[in-house]
Amino acid sequence: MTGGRSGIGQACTDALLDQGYRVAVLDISNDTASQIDSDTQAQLLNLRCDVRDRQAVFEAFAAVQDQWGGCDVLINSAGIARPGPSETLLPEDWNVMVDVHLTGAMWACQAAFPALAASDRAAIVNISSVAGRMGMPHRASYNAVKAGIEGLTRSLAVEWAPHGIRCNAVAPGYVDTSFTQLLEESGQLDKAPIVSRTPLHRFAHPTEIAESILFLASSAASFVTGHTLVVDGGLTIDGAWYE
Amino acid sequence: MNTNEQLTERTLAMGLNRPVAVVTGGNGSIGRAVAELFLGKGMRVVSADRQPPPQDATPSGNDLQMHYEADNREGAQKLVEALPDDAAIQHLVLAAGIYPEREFARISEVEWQDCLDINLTAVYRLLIATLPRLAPDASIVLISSIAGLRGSKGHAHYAASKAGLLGLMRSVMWELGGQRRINTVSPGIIENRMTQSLRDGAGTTILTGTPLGRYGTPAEVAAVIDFLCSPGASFVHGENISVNGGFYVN
Repeated sequence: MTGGRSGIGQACTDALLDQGYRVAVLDISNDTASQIDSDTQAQLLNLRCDVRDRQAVFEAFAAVQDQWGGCDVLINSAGIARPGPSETLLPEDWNVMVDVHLTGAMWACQAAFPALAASDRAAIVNISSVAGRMGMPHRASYNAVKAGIEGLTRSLAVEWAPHGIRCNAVAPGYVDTSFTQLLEESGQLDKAPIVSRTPLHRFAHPTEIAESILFLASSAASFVTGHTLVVDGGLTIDGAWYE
Repeated sequence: MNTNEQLTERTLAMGLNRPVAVVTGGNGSIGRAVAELFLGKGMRVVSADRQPPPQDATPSGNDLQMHYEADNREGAQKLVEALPDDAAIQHLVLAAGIYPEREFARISEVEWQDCLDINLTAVYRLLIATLPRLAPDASIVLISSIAGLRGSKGHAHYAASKAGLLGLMRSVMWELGGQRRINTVSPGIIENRMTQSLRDGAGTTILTGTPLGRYGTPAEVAAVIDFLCSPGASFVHGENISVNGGFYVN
């Protein structure tokens, strides 16, 4: 897992551990280069890794290979946010979004490829967003990289299928995380209009996103590849657009 | 009281406390695979089909077989009336359908109407008839097709009916209420009787165009439907899942 230490990524890490996976978490917020979490009986390997750094990503996967001898599932969930008006967007803010979301996912896929090709149940699950399919003001870089993730997902699905690797994505809608709670408390996020546009009339719980990720990683999805599974309570369908 | 507790309380108040799954086309390959998964979880399954169950089927007290004609205007109402009195529909999987083949210029109006009636209008009738019996967190799954997304030469009526299901799903999702959900799955080429003639004629092309290099199995489609009906998919609503080995994105 890349970015498995917060929000959706953390929920996914927890769900994977619950289902008996051994999980290596590559996250920039990890303290040390390589650390086995003793609380979870060596099922959790925390690796400090900046996914923008291709060499660091390859070293992290080498550490996973050394520790456990392989890798069956890659989940790319590392992400950041740099919202702002497009007309004054700074190059560094644009570049860091592309580097973390898109380029970081690509390096992780590359680094994982040999192990995935050797697995008999290999699956990649990328994290897109409803932002990959809608136009959102002040989120040009986020919209662009998430649409890019879906393109990468389709491409790898076709290219690596002969190697037995499935590649799918999950596109979450709005999720109750500590991050969205913080935005709400600081007045940067107004939940009411979003909830009223969502047919299920609520935000998702992070575990609901994790369950969809785990489904795509599992044998239940053995004939599903190249698909982006939207988990948004119906938000993007927007069938009540005229109201 | 959390949402789930509220839902449970309301369901009990309605007197609908024994969940059932309803599967139309329940003796077809995909419908049967879905019914078997639900039966394996201890659910009561109402299997509605114009075909009788296969002779070698193992009888089970939970496997309630019902004769159902999708093109019969009263079929949906009869199905609902035949449900056990206290049954709330937890899963509704509408897998009855036909797959006619005809070049467009030769499709007669009768053939067009039959296809639309069985594949699309029957779903409308069943949704209308079952709405009052749906559990507050019921999951509905319709079976569309890659033909509904991409079109299919020689199957214009079939493709139109399957695309129609997507529009129906994306509209009715606003009016189900509670935490009821509706989604579709769109299978690619699945190895079953329905696709036999297609596979005989174009098998090599299809397999070459499928990144995973094989046909899907009814069990693989059923596994996706089972996920959509599970609590794990509780925020998946209005979604269409392609089950085609990558054919659609190739």
